[in-house]
Amino acid sequence: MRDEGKTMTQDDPRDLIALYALDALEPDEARRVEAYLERHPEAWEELRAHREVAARLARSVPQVDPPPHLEARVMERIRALGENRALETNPPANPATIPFTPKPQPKPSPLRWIAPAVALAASVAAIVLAVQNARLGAELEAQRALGLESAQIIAAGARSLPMKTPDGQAEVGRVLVAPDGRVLFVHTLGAVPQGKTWQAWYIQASNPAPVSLGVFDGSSVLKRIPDGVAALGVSEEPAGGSTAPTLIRGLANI
Amino acid sequence: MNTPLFNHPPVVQLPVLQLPVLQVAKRAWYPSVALIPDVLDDENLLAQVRDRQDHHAEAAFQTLYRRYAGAVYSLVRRLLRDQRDIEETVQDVFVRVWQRAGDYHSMRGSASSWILTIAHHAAIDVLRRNQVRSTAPIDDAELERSAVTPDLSSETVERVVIERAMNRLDGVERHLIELAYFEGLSHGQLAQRTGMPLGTIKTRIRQALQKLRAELGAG
Repeated sequence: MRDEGKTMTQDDPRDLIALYALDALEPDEARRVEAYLERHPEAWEELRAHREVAARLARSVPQVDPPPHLEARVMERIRALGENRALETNPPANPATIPFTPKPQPKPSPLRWIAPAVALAASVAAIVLAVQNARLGAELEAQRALGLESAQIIAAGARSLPMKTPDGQAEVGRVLVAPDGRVLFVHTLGAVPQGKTWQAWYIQASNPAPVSLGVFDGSSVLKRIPDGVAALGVSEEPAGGSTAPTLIRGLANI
Repeated sequence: MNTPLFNHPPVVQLPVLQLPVLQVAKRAWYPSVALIPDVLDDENLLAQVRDRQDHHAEAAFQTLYRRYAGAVYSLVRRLLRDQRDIEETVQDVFVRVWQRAGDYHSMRGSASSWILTIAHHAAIDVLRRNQVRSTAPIDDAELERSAVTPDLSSETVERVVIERAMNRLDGVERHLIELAYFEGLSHGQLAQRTGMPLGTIKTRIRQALQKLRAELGAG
C-alpha cells in the first residue's frame, strides 16, 4: 500500500525509527531501518526509548484474561520444538521418512512427575485462599477509601515514577508524588510473607539516613513526605517494623 | 538511578508459596504457581529460557507466560477481531519468545518492551494480511472510570497515568498514535486517512513519542 508518487528511498532511515517502533512501516521501509540500525548501533538508543513508550501504550489496554487452554497449547508447542531440535542435532539415516509438523500431536511429557506435586500445591493454595479471602473484604474496603484519595492526587498532577529492585533491573511498582507532598506507593511485590510487614521510607538529599514512613501490609499506601526528599523505598521487615531497612524490595529516585 | 542509598545489601528471597491477596482470584487458575520462582525478574527468566537447561527453561518460560499472557492477549485482542486469529497469534508470540530468547539484549530495551513489541508486530502482520481492522474503539469511558475505581491495582494506576499522558498530547498527535499503534495503519495509510504529508506524519509521531516518554519517565 504505497503512497502514490512518494519515493520512499528518499526518506532518511533515521527519521523512520519512531514509525518503526510503532510497526507503522511497510516491509521494505522496515528493512531499510533495520539495515540502518545494523550500521549505526548508536541509533538503538532512540529505538529503545520509543519501544519503551510503545510498551506502556500496550499496557494501557484494559486487561482481559486469556482463555486458560491457551497456556497448555503454548507449552505443547514449545515442547514440540525441543523435540524437533533433538532430531536436527541427531539426523536420522533418511530424513525424508521424518515428517515435519509445526504443531505435532502431544507426546508424554517428561514432566509427568510434577502432576502430583501440582495437586498438592493446589490443595495448599485452596487453604491459603480461604484464609486470605477473609482478609479480602477488609482489604477491599480500605482500598476503596484509598482509591478515592489517590484519584485526587492523580488529578492534582502527581508525578508517576518507577520503583525498581535495588539492582535496578526490574520494576516492582510506582510511586505517585503530588506537589503537596502526598505520595502513593503502589507495588507488585505480592502479599507480604507471614510474620513480616512492608515498610515505606524516604531519604533526603541532605541526610543519607532513611526515615520511616510507617508499616503497611497491602499493595499500596498513601503517605506524606517533607521537602527535599531524594528517594523513596519499600522494604520487607519483621512484624512491627524496623528502625532501619532490612530487606529492600523497591527503590524510586525523585 | 542505581545509587545505593540504603546501607543494607539487597537479598533476594525465594519463598516456596506466595500468593498476592488481591490477585488470589486470578491465580486460582494457576495452582502450580507456588512451584515457580516468580520473584525472578523478567531478564533473568529470559536468560534461563535462552540457556535451555531442561525444566528450568520451561519453568522460567511458563512464569513469563503467566506474567505477560494477559497483556499480550489484551493487546492482540485490541487489534484483531477473529477469536481464532487472536488465540493463534498469542501462541505464535510466545513461541517466538521461546525461540528468540537468545536475541534479547537488555541494552536494547526491557524484557517487557521486547515481548510486547513481538506481540504488537505479530498482530499487525495478521491484521494487514487479513485486511480487516478492528473497529473496537479505545473505550475512553472505561479509562475515565478507571481513574476513580476502588480497585487500586498497579495495572489501574498505570492505565490512568498513560491516559493522562496521552491527554497531554495535542489532538493530532494523539490521533496519529492511536491510528498507528492501535489501528495498525502504516505510514502511507496514515497519510491517506489524515490528509497530512508523509513528512509531517513522521515528525509529529516522533514528537508525540518523545512527549510521552518525558511524561511517563519511560526508558
